[in-house]
Amino acid sequence: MHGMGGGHGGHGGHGMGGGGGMGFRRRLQEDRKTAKISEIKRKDLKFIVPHVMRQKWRVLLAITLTLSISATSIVAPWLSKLLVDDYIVRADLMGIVLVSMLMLGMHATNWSLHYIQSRNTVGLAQRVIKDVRRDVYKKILALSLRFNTERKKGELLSLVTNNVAVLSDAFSSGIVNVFTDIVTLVGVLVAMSMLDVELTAISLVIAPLILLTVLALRGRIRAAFIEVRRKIAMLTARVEENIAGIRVVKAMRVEGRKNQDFMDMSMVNFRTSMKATLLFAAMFALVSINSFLVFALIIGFGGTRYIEGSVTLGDLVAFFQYIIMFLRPIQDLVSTYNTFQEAAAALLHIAEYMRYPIDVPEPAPAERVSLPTPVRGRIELNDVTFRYGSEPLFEGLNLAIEPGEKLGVVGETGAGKTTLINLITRLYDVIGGSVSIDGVDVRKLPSQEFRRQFAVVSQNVVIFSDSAKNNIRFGRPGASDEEVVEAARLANAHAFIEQMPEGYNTMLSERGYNLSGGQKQLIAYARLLLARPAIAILDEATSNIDSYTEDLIQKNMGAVLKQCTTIVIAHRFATLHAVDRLVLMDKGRIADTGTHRELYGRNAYYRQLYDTQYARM
Amino acid sequence: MESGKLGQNPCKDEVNTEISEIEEEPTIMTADATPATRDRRQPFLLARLFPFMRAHLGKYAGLFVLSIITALIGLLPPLFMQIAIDTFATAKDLAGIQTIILLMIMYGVLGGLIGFASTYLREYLGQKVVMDMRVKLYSHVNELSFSYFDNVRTGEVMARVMQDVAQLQMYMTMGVISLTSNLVTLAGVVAILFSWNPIIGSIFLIDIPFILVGMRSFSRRVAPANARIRKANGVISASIQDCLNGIREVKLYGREEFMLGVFDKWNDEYFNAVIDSNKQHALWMPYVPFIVSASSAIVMLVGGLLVVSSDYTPGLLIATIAYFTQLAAPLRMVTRFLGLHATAKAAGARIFDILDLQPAISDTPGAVWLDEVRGHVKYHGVSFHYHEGHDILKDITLDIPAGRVIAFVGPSGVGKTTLLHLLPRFYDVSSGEVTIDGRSIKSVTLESLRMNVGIVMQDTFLFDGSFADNIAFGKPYAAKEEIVRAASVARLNKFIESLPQKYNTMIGERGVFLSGGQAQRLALARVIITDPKILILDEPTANVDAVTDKEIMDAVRETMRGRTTLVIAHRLWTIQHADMIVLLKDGRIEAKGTHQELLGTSAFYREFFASQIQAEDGGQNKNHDETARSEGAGR
Repeated sequence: MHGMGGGHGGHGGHGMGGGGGMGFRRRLQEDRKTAKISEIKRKDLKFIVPHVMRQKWRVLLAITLTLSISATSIVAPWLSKLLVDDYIVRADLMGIVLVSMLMLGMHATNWSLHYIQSRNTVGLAQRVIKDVRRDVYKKILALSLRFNTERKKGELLSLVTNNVAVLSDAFSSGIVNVFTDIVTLVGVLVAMSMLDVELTAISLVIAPLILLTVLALRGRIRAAFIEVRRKIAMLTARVEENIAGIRVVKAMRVEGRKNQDFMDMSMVNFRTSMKATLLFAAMFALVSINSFLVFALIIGFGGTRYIEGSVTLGDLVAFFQYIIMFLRPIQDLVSTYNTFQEAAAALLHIAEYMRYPIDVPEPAPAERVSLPTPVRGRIELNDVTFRYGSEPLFEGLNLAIEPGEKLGVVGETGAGKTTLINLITRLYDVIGGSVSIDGVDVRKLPSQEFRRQFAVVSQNVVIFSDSAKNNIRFGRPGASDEEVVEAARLANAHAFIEQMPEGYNTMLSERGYNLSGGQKQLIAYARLLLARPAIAILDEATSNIDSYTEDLIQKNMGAVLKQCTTIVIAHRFATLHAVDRLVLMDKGRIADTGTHRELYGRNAYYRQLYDTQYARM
Repeated sequence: MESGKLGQNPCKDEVNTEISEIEEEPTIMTADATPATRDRRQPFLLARLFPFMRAHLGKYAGLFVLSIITALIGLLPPLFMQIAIDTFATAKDLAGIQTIILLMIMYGVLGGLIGFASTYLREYLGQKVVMDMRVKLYSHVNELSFSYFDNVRTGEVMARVMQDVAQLQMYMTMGVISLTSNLVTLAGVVAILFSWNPIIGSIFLIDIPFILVGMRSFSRRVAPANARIRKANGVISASIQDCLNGIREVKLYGREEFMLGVFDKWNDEYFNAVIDSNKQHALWMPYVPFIVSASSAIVMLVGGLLVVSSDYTPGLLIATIAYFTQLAAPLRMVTRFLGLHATAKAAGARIFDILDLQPAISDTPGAVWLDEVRGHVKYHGVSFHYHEGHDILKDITLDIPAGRVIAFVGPSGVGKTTLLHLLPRFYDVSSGEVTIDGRSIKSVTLESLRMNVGIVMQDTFLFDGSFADNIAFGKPYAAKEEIVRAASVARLNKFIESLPQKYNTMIGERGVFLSGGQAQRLALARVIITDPKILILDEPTANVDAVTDKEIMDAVRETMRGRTTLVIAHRLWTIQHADMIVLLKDGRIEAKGTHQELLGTSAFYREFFASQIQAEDGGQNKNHDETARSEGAGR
């Protein structure tokens, strides 16, 4: 919300020209992508059709109700005409009572129909959208890491949340509204022409003026508001950056300059807003003047005709009511059209995403193999070829890791250490050759079962928006509270968790509670210790932990993970002192393998790497 | 995802659409006003807001007048109708009808112009006041001390500066002004209707409470469901974000089904909440139009009877019904104002809470400019606590001669960073004193103190902008040569010169385009250019891949030259460059001396560095390796 939501309370209370103003304005301010509705192909609807079909009775009910509601709305003014012409003018008391009661009944019916209609359509839309949202989320989980690295996270998030919401909007109200609008428009036109063709013709000439006004200014207003949003976003980003970096700002005493910056940006923001307001207020005034014009003309022509005696007073009364019913959908037409264009864009986006191929597929049922139990944790890479883009990284790579072995992987950034892990854990599939666990090709293993054998601590630990307890339990969802605490103790995380406001129940979030990088890694260690995997992977797992604490954890790990095959990647050689064997990687090749002393003795490249870190002291 | 929209009502009456769009906002906002903030002592919101409005009093008065004129103009059309029907149509006076039409068109144009002027003026005032308030709030926040920011999340401060201020804008412009104009409209209609016929006037009056009660009960009943929608919505967004951020973890632990289970739970809750909210929408949204139409029907009845039996004319009846269709709009605004008032009060309380806050640390009266610093730093029996009774630092006494490098080591959380943050007065000591060249740091101005104490913090925070902007951050008008010199000392010059746009290259938001080592060196350059006599480094090589980024070592070494340097050290390399090492444990100085001395004298020190020492010696000396390992393990 950005504060321009002014409403139009001061605007003429004529009851016309104001209808839907707020919504129109709000829609103008939203910067959403649009697409032509004709762009939607049959295949784009595949993801949503089955969900809609499941609700077909609700769809039918919606159509029926729409027709009934429009009918009751259109009949009401006709009744006023009857009342005025046939009973009031003729002083028929019984008739007056009868028709008035009929009207009252009609309004009550209208209310209950609206109630049912609303429950029905919202129920329908929400059921469809709920299913779509679930499908979209499921797809995120199914897609490989490749998809995630190719697309920006923000873009993906917006795909799932915003696009589904836009679609939901169109479903919840858009479709029914348009349908109602069209039915009403047609019905009103018919009713009006039955009353008087000439007056109807006059209204039809003037009404498009309103539409034209809106159309003419709309594009510019939209552009202006988008500019306002952009400026606000810039201002917000600036404030956010400044608050996040406030310690630097204060340490360097540049508060004054920052204030001046902010003032300048606010001023620009102010001017942009006023420009948009100018256009908006102008459009509003024009629409309002046009509405007055229509009314004035109807009174003029209608009055003249009344004096001539060719229309009755009742005709005029009904006509005024019809005109109001007629003008509103026309005013809304543009924004409704836009809603559908936005929905079309959202739909196309989601459809495209749902079609994205899954490049690390589950094994076909016929090929599926289970791991022999107990899982021993022997890993073998056989003649593996792999590349991310076009640059080959691995070519004919061979490596065997024995059950229970502690293997260290060293090498410069870009040597392929993390890729090695990605292939072993099947985050990516090899292009040539194979990766196997206990002799079974990983592509034949069901992913859930397969991945349960691993636990990972990495450099950038991800904390989920959940309690500290559940974040550790992520390692093994079924674990008891005692087991969670025990794992935290072993990982040296117990002390700081206890100190948090609500201990293990404290809600953590990536952005919220400030866990230090080291603390996040301790949580990840607890996860790992709770999971007790067959294969543990420590990818720069102690980069944020001081060596003293690291030592403590390693001692505990040693006891718990004695049987477990462990792969350690580390920049700090100090971290690698407990491994059985080192693999030295260089540009996607395994340059050498052996213990630290063997490598230091015979490999010049290793010696150089090692000495850079220590010899300069 | 905008929560309010998902439960929107599909019915579309003239009045209905307006209500559903306007009515929803205050309910949502009201629910945001948590009881905790709502009950603050906040005598008169307007009284506190007045200073911000004072500069624009003339415009406010103008807006006030325009709003009332607009309201009065809005009363005219039904009057025209009445006159047209009863006077001219009955008398068959064509010229009269034409006059009425001309008048109507004139009023229409006039109304449009005045509406235009008042909309513009209203937005102008709103934007202006918001701007003033934001600037004031922002500068004030910038003055607050570290202790404030330690206890508040960036998002919270953001919400104060951006959203809360916007809330007040709505209150100060739309709220107060349109409340008046809508009350004028209501009073006008009541007066006109009563003057025509008291019975029908009473029907209008009776409608008012019916509508108000409906609106209130809708707001009240829909609020809990809307709160649930917001919560579920938040959780769903967060879980999607979690899933995207943590997809690697999720996959590696094979937790897809677990994640989907959590998602399903909230997806269902969201669905149920929307359905519950819609129950209220479906019932109450068509309620107001129903009241209006139903009472129109009753007016038809009563009016019809009156026309037949008295001198009540058809024109009056038709005009009356026109007034009834206008009934909902002003009432809606009044209800909205009530919601707005509650929200504004809460937002105002939060804003003024910040504005009332005095910075914990500011210049003491009579503070003098700190100049000609040599860099002799002394801690005299310094203790410090964030919370009473929990001393982080206890009785620290330390003498650091000018130009020396002192390394601070100790387990995480022992207070190393805190100790160093006392020197530039990010926090004030709880007891004891810190002096520079014998002068208490409290006796000099903050500005001069912080100019002389440069600091590179643990997480290097960079600002969006170019290399030049970032290096000159603390010295905005630095000459190009100074920037290049600082970059050279930080071993960054060569890298920057290799870029196509050199010093004008943008570093990306928070320096995303830079490696950890480059960011660190940029942070060094930023301090170097200010040429501080005293330098604080918080583990300069922490996040750096030593294998590929050895330039950082040279940069640090050269930066320390000629300055008193206090450095927090995790790595042996850093320690090796210190003249003296201070080992902290449990908030006290456990030992101090050179690396060699401490290895000899302090068992804790040996334990602390066991793994590093062993790794260091591992390459050169096998035997020593074994000793160190057993020593480390023995503890």
